[in-house]
Amino acid sequence: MTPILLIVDDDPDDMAFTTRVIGKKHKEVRCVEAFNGEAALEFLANSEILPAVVLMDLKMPGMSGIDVLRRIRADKRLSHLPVVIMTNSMLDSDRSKALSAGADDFMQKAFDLRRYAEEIAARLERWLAPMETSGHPTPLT
Amino acid sequence: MMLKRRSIAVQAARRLVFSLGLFVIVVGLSTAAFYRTALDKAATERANDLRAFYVSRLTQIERDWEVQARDFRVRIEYARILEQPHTAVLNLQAFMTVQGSGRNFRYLLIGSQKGEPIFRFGKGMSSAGLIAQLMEGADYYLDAETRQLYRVYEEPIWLGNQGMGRMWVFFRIDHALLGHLASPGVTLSVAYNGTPLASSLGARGLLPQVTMPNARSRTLPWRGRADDPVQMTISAPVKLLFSTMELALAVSVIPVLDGLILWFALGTWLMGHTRRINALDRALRHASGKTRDRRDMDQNLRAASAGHNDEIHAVAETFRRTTALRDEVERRNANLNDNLRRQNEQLEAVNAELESFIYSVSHDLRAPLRAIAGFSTILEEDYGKKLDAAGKDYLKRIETCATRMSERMDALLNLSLISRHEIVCTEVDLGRLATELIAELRDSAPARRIETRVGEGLVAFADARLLGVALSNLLANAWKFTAHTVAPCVEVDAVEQDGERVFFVRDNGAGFDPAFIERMFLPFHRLHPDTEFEGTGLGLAIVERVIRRHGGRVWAEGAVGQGATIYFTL
Repeated sequence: MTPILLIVDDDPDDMAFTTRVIGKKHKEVRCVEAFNGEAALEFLANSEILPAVVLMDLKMPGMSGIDVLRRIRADKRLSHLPVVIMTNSMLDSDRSKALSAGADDFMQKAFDLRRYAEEIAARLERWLAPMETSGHPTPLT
Repeated sequence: MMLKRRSIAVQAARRLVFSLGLFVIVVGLSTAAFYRTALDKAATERANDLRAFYVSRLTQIERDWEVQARDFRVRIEYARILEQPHTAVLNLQAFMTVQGSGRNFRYLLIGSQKGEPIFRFGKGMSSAGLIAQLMEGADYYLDAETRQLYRVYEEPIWLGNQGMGRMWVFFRIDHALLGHLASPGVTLSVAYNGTPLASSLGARGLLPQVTMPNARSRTLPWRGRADDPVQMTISAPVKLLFSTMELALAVSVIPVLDGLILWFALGTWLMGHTRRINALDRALRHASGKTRDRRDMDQNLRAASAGHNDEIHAVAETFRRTTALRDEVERRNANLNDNLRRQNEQLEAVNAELESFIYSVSHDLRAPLRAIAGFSTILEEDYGKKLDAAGKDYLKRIETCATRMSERMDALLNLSLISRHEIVCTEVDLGRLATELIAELRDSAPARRIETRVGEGLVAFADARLLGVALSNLLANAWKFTAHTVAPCVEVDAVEQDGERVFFVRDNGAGFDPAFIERMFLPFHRLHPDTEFEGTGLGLAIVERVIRRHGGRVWAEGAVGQGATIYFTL
């Protein structure tokens, strides 16, 4: 079964970069795009198959990444979902904010697209692996 | 030496008791002396009263005796003693026995005009030369043999047909008479021409030792005339003249009463002051205590000073003014603190604004920049083959510019983060920090050969993270500006200057024009073109801000082509 990746990002450019770098390296996964938090939650509520990983931008209009994350953690059906929070900001405080809200991983979007591709790949490798081993890996730092 | 704390009230009480004792003794003695004089005077007055009383008693006796003598004359004239001597004598004897008893009548003598004795009545008197003596008109007769004193009354009488004769009647002044006359406790004695002859105490009263020591005496002539040879002395002891109560009152009660009044007045006055001092003490304690009850303090101050204008009042007033001044200072301080707090709040608000601004710079500006760079990359990846060399170059330039702008934004963000970073000072080993940073720099450019020297014991008290940032910038600069230098050398060490530890980072690189030394530490101010040395223009600005936040100074020395040395203190 093709694993699903849910990508939540309000910036269409960023969304394009993310889907591009994933599509290039992981042909086996299917990306679902949500351009705001409400859409992401709606998808999660209605989809029969849950995504393997959620990649979510921190700063979004309306519900922020943290708000969506809290909803996911509060929902019994969704609470186990691996969630990676991404941000364009360079502030360190965002990392602790995300992790304390229950994010499984955190990453700053690298400026260079090639490095960004490497970082995304590293995350996916880490969070897609449990599908087979069912272990719980520690977040990348 | 620590003095034992003793209340003024207790001290005052002790002094009062002591002074009362002294007062009673001194005033008592002097008053006693005074009263003695007064008492003496009073005693004299009372003795005089007594004298007046005896004068009247004597007058009475004299009158009685005189009346009796006249009575005798009438009787004798009636008895016609010369005509019927025998009957007359019997009658007279009977009469005189009755009349004379208890009246001290002792003797009666009748003589002729010429002085011949005619009749006598009574015994025990020698009559030798008696008539001759009586003819001279004496009022008294002292019997030389018996030493008995008599009062003598002479009456002219008719002797039948023979004409005038004289009659002398004798009344004896003796112990018994005086004994009857005297009031209880009073001693009467009689002297004739200064010789004591009779006393109310009997013969005992004539002895000198019987005279009472503490007595008042008054002498009065028997017949009330000053030239009277018979004088009666009245002696009365003082204790008879005054009652015991009178004496006790006179000697002791009045001075004691005076003392008590004085004592009470002084004591009340002192206790009043003590109460005021206590009130002052309470007020002072209120003021210095942790819980300052303003109202209670004012009340005590009022109690200490109200209605008086003395030293205590002055102290209370001074204290009140001082307290008011202090309150005023505290109020101003509180206002100042209020202002400070308000300014702090405003500052926090500004900080929060700044933070959100930085966040949007960091996020919102970075996102489109990243898109520019990202799409440049995609363009190159996907359509690179369709572009010629010039097209590829333009694409590369777009990417480079975007990247440079991103780096500058990051540096700017770092600069603002340094300003807001909370400083936590610990002991930092600057030498070790430098060594680690140098190792990182070597790793990043393994091809370069740079000689480095790090001094020993470079320990500073600073915020480890910020100092790391500053040192990292300084070493990165040194690395960068020695890029075109032959035999590059970077040195980290410290020197003592005016008793101050001055750290420095020195290189032998490109150096700088000292004319621009002022502007070196300003943000985005670069002394070299990007084509020569790349940079954000923020490195030294970050260093300056880190050092300034530590309260230190930073300055530079160098010249073009001769390297640069950046000094700093912490």
